[in-house]
Amino acid sequence: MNRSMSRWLKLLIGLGLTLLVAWLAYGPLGRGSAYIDLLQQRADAVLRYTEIPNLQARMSRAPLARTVFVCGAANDFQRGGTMVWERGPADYPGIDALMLYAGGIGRVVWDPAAAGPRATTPPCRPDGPGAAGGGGLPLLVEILVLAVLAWLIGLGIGWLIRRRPPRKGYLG
Amino acid sequence: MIDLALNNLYVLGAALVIGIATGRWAFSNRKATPPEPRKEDEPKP
Repeated sequence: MNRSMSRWLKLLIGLGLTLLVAWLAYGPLGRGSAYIDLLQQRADAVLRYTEIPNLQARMSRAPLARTVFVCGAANDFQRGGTMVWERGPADYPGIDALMLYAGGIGRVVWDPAAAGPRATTPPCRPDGPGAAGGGGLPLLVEILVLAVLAWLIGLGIGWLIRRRPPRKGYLG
Repeated sequence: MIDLALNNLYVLGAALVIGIATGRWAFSNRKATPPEPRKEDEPKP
């Protein structure tokens, strides 16, 4: 019986272990949810900075994604700002650009407000409109892609420092 | 994406270590042939 494993099987085991670790960090260990909580705080800070009333921001949580849904009454200037000069001193970036400059947030989607008849503040849906509303790439996919990239870099380093047979001579 | 990577450094570090271990495991080659005896060591007639 040949007990040696093929090279492809070893690579497959390593890749599977990497994906498992990334998923454990994302889901059961709560790193994915904690990261979205951090982005939610940044989005709220941006809204406080703009001082525009009756705006709400909700990160996409079903599924978890780096997309923020903003709902509320804002005109085109408040949304897009002026970008005559790219981030020049006379430009006002607008909510869309400020969200992207905050770091981590990948997309800004304006969710049409589903306000009640007498509501003064349009309520956002708690988790945003979801995947059907343009949630973008799920956070799990992004974390898995990053983990696979790191695994490939490690694989290259491991190939460089692999165990070689002892040399037979000075030039061998 | 960079911000996401910086917030998941432990995961990426673990993936890097797993990659190094996998590379050393999958690409190791210890099947060495025994060295041939040197000619100087052969008994002279």
